Amino acid sequence: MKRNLAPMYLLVSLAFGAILPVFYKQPYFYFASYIVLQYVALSVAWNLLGGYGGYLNFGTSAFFGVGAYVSAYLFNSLGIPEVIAILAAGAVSALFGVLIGYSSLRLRGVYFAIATLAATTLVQSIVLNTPALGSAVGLYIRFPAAPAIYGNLIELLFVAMFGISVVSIGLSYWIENSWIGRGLMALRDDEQAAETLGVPTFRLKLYANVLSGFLMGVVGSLYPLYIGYIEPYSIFDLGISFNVFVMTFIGGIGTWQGPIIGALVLGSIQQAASVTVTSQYNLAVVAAAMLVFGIFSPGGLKGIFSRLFGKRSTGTVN
Amino acid sequence: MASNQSVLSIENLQAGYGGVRVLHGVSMTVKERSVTVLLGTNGNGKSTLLKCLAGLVTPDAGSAKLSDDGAGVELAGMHPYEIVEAGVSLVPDGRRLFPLLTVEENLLMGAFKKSARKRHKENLKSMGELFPVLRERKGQLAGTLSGGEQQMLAIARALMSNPKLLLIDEPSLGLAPIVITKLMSTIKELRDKYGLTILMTEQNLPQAAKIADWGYIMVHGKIVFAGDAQQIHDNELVRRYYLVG
Repeated sequence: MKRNLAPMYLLVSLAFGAILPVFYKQPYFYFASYIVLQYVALSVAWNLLGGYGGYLNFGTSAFFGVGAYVSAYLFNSLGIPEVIAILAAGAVSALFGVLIGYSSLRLRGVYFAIATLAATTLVQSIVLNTPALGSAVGLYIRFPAAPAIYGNLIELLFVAMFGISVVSIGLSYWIENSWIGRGLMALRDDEQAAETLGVPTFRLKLYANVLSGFLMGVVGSLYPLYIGYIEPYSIFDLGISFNVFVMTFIGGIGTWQGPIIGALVLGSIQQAASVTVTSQYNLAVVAAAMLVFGIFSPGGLKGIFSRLFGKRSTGTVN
Repeated sequence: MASNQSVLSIENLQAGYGGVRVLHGVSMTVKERSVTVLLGTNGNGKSTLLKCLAGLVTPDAGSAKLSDDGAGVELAGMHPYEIVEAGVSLVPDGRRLFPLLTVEENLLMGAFKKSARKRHKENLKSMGELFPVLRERKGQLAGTLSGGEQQMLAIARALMSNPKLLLIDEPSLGLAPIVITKLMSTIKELRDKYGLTILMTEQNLPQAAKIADWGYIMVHGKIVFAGDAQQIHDNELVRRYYLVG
């Protein structure tokens, strides 16, 4: 029943996001919401492998950064149109997902997490030593003109990020309810048991990693347009990877709703704290939330809702 | 009852973990519609042999051919999921159920391969008939079942993929004697009523000998005895090998 309505929800949400800036004009709202939505999309993408498959990827910023640099380079240096640059960024990031997946998805548990951390440093070093990508100096991005329906670029970026988030959520919902999601959850709970049941474990992990990498790359590809200037230390920042992990964890890991809730709540708190207190507290807020939830509610906010309404949460934390 | 057509022929299979050799050239056959028991005490390579057949351990040498209507399928070197597709299903050592999923969800996980996914409803129904206790407890979490029920569930889950060859690793592990008797009669029923071919490993000689058509004894990664049901039951040699094991 829910399934038939899903495409409609998707379209209504997309339309809502596209129309909102026409009526509501408040630049700061879009400026802040963009970052919150960016974390929604990244967390949803992260959850595909990390939540369903139980393989914790601490290299979110590597995928994000690959997307950012590919789009900035294509757009800036070669003058390729944004839409194509964005898709190309996603494709390169997905390819990066294949490479990382092939080399490290045979590792289990903490070893995979360490490999993804190493991948972040690796890509960062490559960028630092590539003059065409600006090395340590970074790249400035020429802002494109905003289309007529939206007053300025930030509104367009908000609409684009809104769309990416909604599409990611749709994909995640579909995966959770398909054989791919069931296979991933089975291998998360007991990889060897899953294998004996005929789950093509390696292939599913690779699918999840590649799709997750594609989405992270697409998200990252918009960031240069938002920020105007990128350099390796802020782009390949472990804080991004850490934020995404904690947001998913706090929302409810391994459920399609969890990463949305977590990113909306924590992302909004971070944005509010940046304005009212100081942006220095960004990671402190996240770390504190992580500790509190780790002790009191390992199932996250989704787990609390599920318990209140007497439902079993699909996600588990080991 | 047991026909002479062999479903599985293993020849000179060798396998190990890293530098440690476990199987030193194992050869055996499993006949259609039979219960074949692989006996042996701990640490002799029984589970490793089943893991080789299920693709969880890659053999270093030798072959394991599954006969598929005349054509032979080589299992050695195939991926676990391809082996399930080919019609071989393993009930792993220690059951390895999903404790936080319900009985019914565990069963559905067994129907993962494409052809089984289509038939999951009728298979679910026939599992309910075969194991009434699972039907009664379909909404219960698998981790809360008793040991015997968990073993039944593990077998039923493996059957959800419509295998032609069922591999069972130590079904009696950790179960009370009366539960083992019941379990053995269920396994016998799988052969008699459903025409399944079963290869199981066991340490419990007297219980396994009751239902076995064929028996093999493995000591230190080699087959030291092969015989039919009567021979396993009576042979003094069997007891000696077994106790020496």
